[in-house]
Amino acid sequence: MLELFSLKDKVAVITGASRGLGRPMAKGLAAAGAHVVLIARDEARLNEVRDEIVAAGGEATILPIDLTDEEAIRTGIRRIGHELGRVDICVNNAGIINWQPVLDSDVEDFERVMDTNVKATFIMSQECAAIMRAGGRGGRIINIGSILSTLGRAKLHAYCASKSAIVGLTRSLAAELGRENITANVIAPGYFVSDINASLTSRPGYMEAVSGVTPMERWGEPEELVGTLIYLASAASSFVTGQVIHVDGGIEATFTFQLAA
Amino acid sequence: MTERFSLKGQVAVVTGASRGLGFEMARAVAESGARVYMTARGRDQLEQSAATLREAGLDVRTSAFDLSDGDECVRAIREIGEAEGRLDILVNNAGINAWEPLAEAKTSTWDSVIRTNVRGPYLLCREAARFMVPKGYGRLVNVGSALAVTGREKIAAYVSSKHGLAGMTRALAAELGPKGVTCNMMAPGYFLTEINTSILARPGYERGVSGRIPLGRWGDPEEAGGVVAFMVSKAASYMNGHILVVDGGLTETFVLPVDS
Repeated sequence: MLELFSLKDKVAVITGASRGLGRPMAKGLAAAGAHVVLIARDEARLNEVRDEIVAAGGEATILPIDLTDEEAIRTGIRRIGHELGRVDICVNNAGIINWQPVLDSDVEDFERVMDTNVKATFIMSQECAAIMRAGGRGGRIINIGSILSTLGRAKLHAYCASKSAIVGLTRSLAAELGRENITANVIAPGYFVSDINASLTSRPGYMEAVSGVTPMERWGEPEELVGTLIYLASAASSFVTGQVIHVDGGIEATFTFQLAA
Repeated sequence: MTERFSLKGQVAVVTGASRGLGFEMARAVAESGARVYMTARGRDQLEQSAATLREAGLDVRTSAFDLSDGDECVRAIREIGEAEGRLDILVNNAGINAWEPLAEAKTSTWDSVIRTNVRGPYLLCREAARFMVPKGYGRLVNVGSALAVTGREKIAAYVSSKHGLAGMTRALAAELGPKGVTCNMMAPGYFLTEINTSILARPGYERGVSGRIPLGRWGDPEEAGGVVAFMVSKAASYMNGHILVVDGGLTETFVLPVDS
């Protein structure tokens, strides 16, 4: 790994690390040299990811907590800061999605999505930033948004609201923490093939429809998020803050469609 | 008409006003009470369109000139401003488009698109501002496109020109704002106009576009007029440097043709 992109001696925490896009991202951070703290509810899966990282010569610690439990986040992150002596990188990746037509939707659903996607991101950022500030070495907060951070989508009002809110939260963190050399940025992924969106990829014609509006004419592979993540976590991005980086094969930046055959 | 939308006593210039969106913009601005100078390159079509609006009792005049000719741009605005002793509103609507895959794209196409879509509007804004700044009031509206905020294949020159026009709009907003002159962009999406006849004729094109628009249809040209009438009125007095997109929701949403 080129020195500029090395995460050697850094501690990185990442939520939603047990599956989906979080798993390859966690492994990517470890491969770049970071000691990775794996956060999710499912302890068995976290152990699996840790074992894979260790087997590849990396370092990892698990922190099995529920991100809707504020106290668990605060206590857990403080303990990590104490045990590992630092937190340099905070990746807020965990998120949930729920499809509901707006007229049939319920407020509990809205709150659940906002709590997991936004409130947990806020609490995580607050706790990590406190450790980063105390360490005096700066830090990196990387929040995972979506193309739906900037675009609306039918039946996903709660998800869209949460992912847009993440952008606002990130910009606000960038504004406030910049003087501590703590940067805050959003990675906004488009459509990726992963175990958590099997319900989408199995719908007839869905994968083709998404590819048809994507300039690169395909879905992303989870590995394709790793490079952007490492870049934002590394010294290479030291003057980049408050940004939304789209990793979506060009969907968000273009108007693309296929003529019916 | 409530007073805040009235353009009574004002003088406006609308370019590309012979047909399509420009014609509807000229009609809407005239209906709000302004005297509208309709401009276009081809005199015959222009006079015909002006006659249609005059028959409806609207106060319209014409000025035929070529937007790609800088001297003509300057002369046309000066003539109108001097004849009227004022110029309150400029709507830079005229523009050209050219479809060319990058590998086949000609430098001359690039030059002519940028010349007509950016250089022309820039000169008209500059000259119009000479009449607006001394009065401490003016409305510059540049007509962009959804492609001022998003990209599209095979029309790089057009997309560049409209993004460029958006940049110019913001720059003029910054420079002229302190002098009471606002500068904004109206950015239309897909409208059912004559100029789109060739793409509408392509099999599946109309539905291909509609399938990505929350409103599920192309715009009616009349739907462009009201937006511009608002933007050039007193009602929009604190809007400056804004890109107002009018595209049925196309660029702000993610819609798939398979969505039900």
